Amino acid sequence: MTEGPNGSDVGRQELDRLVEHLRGGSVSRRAFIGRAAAIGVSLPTISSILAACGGDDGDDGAGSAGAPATAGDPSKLSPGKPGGTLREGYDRDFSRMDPINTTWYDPGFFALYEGIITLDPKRKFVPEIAEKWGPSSDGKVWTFKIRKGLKFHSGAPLDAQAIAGVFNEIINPKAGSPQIAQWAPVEQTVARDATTLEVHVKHTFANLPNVVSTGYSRIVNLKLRNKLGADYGKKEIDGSGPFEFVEWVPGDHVTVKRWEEYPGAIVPFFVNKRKAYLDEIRWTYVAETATRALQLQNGELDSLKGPAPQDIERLQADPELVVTEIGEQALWYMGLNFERLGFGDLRVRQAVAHALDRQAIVDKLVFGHGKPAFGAIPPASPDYNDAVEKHNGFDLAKAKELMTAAGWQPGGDDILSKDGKKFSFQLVTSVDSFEKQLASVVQEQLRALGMEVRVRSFDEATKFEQLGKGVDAFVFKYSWPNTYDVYIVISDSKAAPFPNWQRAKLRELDAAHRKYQNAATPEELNAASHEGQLVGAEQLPFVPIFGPSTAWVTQKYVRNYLPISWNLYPYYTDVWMDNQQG
Amino acid sequence: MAALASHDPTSGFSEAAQELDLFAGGPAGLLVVPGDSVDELMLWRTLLERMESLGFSGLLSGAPGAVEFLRSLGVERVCVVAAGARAEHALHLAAEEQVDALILISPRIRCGVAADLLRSLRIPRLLVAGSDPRDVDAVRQLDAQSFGNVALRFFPSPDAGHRLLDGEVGPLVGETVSLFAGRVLGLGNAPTTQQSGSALEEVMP
Repeated sequence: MTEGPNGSDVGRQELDRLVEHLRGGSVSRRAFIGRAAAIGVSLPTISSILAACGGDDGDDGAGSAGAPATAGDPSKLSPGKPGGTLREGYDRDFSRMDPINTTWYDPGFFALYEGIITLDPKRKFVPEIAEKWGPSSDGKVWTFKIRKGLKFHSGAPLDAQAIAGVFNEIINPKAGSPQIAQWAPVEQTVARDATTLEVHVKHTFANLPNVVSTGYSRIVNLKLRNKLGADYGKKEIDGSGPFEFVEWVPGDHVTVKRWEEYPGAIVPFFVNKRKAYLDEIRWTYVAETATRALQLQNGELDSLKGPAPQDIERLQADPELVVTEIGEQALWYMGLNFERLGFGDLRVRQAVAHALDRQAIVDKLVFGHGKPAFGAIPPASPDYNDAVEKHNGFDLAKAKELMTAAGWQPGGDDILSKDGKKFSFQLVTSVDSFEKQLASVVQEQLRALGMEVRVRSFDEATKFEQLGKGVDAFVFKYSWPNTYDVYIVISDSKAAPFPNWQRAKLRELDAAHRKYQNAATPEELNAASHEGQLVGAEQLPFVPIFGPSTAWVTQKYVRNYLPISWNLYPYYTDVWMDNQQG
Repeated sequence: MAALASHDPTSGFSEAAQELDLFAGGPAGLLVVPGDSVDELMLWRTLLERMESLGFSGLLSGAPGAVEFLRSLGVERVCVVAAGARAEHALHLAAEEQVDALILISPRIRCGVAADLLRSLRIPRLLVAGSDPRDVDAVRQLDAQSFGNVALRFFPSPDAGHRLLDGEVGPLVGETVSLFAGRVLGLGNAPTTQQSGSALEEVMP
């Protein structure tokens, strides 16, 4: 025993007597807990004593030294049955599963790959491939201690050298990683030995754990990736997650199977730290929103991400289904080109922001499954600064005043004009039906302000091409685990014209972003985030619209399935199905 | 329960600990704010016993000082849980004490009470409801006023309040409470988090 009750001899003697009574069976387990707590013994210590002594779980006062008590066994949480293929419907087409070179990570990323660290739902960093980590006293070197003996699915060693290769590839401009901006403070990564990884940074960089923990920093076998080139992520995948790749049929499905040699996880919040329960997972892309719910209700799917918002109420009423909904770390926003029309004038951007009735948009388009956003970070973000809500509220009269102050007057057709030029602009969307609907509502609301909006839709690739060349305005959705990171990427003047497609150049905002990137402590990071959000709400590098929610629906027999807001997906290693034989 | 001392909210607990519903696990624990019915108490006891076997500590009490008392017993990370009308009290506890997570099952919270409390909360929250439209609506209204990490889960059951822990979906609701608490607090006796810099001396060469 390491702890004495109340630190006194009398208390210790009392505890010893209690333990004797427990062993002798004259004190029940429940009574022992209460009496030991009353003399100041901690519950973890009591738990250890009970585990050492054994004892029944009942509270009938009889007590015995029967079956040994446990000191806690997470696998008991829901002792899963192995077997089965989880057939999951997915609401978007799959992208190439190469962490270094993708702009979106699909659910397979969390089955196939591991990161060096990861985030728990409280946004605390926890071990995954690295067991320990920390910065040097001057903040210039972050050292990660890597678990020994890890390997990729192919058998290739997963050590500090393999990880250093991945991190150095991310910061290599030729590699085309979309997250290179977040890694800007990183100078290089060095493998000191097989289990010691050093990330050298140019200045204090408290945000590094955020950057290395996203899905885009998952560890891939770089040698195989570079050997296969563009075929990597399509034909072969080599990670270290609990599932290994089987096939990807573009536009249709992705299949993975349990990795039988999985060495086990050290992520503290995983229920199952051993091999996965599921034999296979097959994610099927269900393009038609109308058929998603139907396929689930017909039993063709075991789980589904992203039913149509209008179907959620019906699914909640289905006696066989469980519905989970989380706020996405995502934002729908409208980019206004600072170099076109009058959008460089803050008053014009503010007028647009005040002319949008966000609650009506949420109610009408997503049936309430989302939250209006008044700043650059969605309300579902844990570091959301609600002070932004003082800005950009729906106020059409104020919007009109701002346009008048900016020199725009209503013409004969009620469209604003200035120096003979009409306030008429093109709003670019993709061909995605939701994007088009959103643009259509924005068009209608801005018409009330006297702006003529012409909606133009392109396929996804052409849309990006157009944004690169420069368009009047566009709607876009970002989704990122640490929302401030992507906020920098899409609004920092250094990121113009890609992916700061609106070409925002705001000195005060850039300064706020620098503070965030140079923060030395989590407290400084949080303060900088709050400041940057306020500056953004005032200066409007883009016009926020709303933060969406995501729904996941499962058959009742799908167990241990709990998606988490920051990474969007469930942890498939925990999931099992209660409809398997045996 | 014995009367609690007014000058030190935890001292009364210590004196009364023998009569309390205490569950001994690791440094992660649940504080359940129960209603008065025997049925409800029995359901919570069953859940806390199960969670004790997983390594969670627990206390069944809504009295002032309960959070502090749990902490004084070595419980470092606390999730507050309540159902039905007791959700309002649990929400107050979560907003006023430094707890780590909040789970509300089929919550009934008076209009006007929630808004200010929810605005200040950023801890992970799980809101659970059955399929009764009033409960679904209540959960959605709470969510609409919340910021940060909130998960909603709806089970196919007409039951409400603590009764969701019973009946056909009872095991699923219990599993969800355990899973969420485990995700947020860490499971069993495992350390949940490793803050940056915490292992510096061991790590740095």
